[in-house]
Amino acid sequence: MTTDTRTAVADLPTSVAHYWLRQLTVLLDVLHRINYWTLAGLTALMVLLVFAQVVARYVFNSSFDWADELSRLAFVWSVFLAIAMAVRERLHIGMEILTSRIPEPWRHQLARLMDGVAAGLMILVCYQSAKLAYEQWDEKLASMDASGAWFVMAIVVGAGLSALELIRLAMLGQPASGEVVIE
Amino acid sequence: MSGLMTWGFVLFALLGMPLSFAIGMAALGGLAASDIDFNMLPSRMVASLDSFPLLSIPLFMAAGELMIKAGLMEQMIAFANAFIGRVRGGLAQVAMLAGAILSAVSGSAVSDASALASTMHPSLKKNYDERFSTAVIAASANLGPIIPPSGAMIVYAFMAGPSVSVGGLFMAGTIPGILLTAIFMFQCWYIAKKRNYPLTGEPVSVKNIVVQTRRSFITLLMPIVCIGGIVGGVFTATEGAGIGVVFALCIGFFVTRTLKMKDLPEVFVRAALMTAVVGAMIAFASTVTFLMTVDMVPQQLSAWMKSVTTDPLMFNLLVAVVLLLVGTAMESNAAYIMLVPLLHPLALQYGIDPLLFGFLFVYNLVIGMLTPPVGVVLFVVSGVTKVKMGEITWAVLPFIASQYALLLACMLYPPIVTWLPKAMGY
Repeated sequence: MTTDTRTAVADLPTSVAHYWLRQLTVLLDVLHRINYWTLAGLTALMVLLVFAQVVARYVFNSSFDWADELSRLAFVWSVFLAIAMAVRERLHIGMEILTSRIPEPWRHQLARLMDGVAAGLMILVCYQSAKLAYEQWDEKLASMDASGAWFVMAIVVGAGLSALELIRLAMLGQPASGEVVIE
Repeated sequence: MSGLMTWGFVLFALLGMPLSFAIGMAALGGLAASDIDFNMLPSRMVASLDSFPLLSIPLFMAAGELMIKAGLMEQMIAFANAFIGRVRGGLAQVAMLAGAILSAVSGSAVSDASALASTMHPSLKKNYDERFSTAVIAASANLGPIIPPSGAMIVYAFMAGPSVSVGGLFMAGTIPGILLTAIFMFQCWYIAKKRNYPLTGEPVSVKNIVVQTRRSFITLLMPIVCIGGIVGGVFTATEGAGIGVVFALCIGFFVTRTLKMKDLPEVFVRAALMTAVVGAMIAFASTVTFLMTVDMVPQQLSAWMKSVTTDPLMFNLLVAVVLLLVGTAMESNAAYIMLVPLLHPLALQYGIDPLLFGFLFVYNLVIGMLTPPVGVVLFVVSGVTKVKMGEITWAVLPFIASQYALLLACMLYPPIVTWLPKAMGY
């Protein structure tokens, strides 16, 4: 698995029709780098918070309840941001029982169609979660002085980024890499 | 509505959409059909993932990967070698034992498979034929989710709810895991003897055992501290995983000194990515599960099942057949997420011990990871060793057979699974 999957912009088709694809690719390459370091930081933060809580409990005989909530917040953000990165790297697992029997170029076009449909799903999820975040904005988190909507905001960003990645894949028509990860 | 969701999922999954998004499409269809506001989707997605126990998944993955990067494999191979000595199929037995120890550190068969394949395959194929070598690696990696810690068990316990604890399930897997390791090692010896494979390794010497044990002592301490602490109730599974990461960092930086600062971001991002693949399914499935409950699907399933059989053993066998079929078509995490909420409550109605059913469920799907066409472990081993899937499949059959034999033994004589957790107070 490669974690750096920037597409060489120069390799893309140059017709006017592909102008937007190029723009999107450039944008997503930047967002991917930001996402990469954010994810590394979020996981490190989870390790730190969880470990600190055990130390605090057994060594200093105290606990801080904001650490629990902050670690869960970091987890929710890391999952939704990583969902978008997993779209980019084709890590979300699908079934190939039927699709592997479809001859090219139909298989290819079907994959693009499915990416497009999934992009639609993600746009809807992004829109619905944005609405929910707006409604919840004045609520407070249980242990920290911040808006309760920060949890839902993870979906707004994650689903939005996933939608963009899926749109790019649908436009590009890149075949699935077929890499299977996770038990 | 439940019918619509099921068919919607099957349709999109067959058309090649990733399973998590196909579940999302089903959820969307269900919400539309039952006239419920779409904002239920994001609120249930957040609620399902806002859970401290789930944090243990990325943390255990990171801990396992870090231990591998810290040079755990080389140490464990030397350690296992010291004990096994010069016997028929010795190197294959070393691979099994090293795999079992690796399993006690890492929670995922996939990372075990790639670590074992890259470290053990070169020496295995020098002594045995290619098919047997890769089959040994695949079988050994498959011990991963049975011996604690186990990502699969964490997902199971999460989906099953309060009647199953992660610590209890970890204990349930311990004795079958040790038994299976012993069976695999015996099989290696038997096959090696029959095929007249060369003798490998140095004869056992007390001095070598002492030296290797001292060298590996700190590494071996990690599973004892993490798993022991979780099972003994000193800390939660998530905290145990967090301690595991810190432990692995200390070993990698200060003891073996093979870990570098620049390795960390990649390990952490990888842990997040592997978690997200499961997390996406959990998030979208939460709406589907809710709608199915509204539709009284669990009750209907229970009534139907009871008209088929009232015998717990028959029920367990039926579930095994269902999971075998599901396992051939679908990735195992999707199966946990969709089937555990339906089947676990049913098992309780049959009076089956929740830990026994949980273990059998996980074990069934773990065996499925070795069976084509979607045997994930086979994919990984084949990818690293460049041996064709079909060839590994044939060679791995004897190991699958013994896994099924042990599964049957656990069904017929449950104390193999339940004795240890009961003795530990679960």
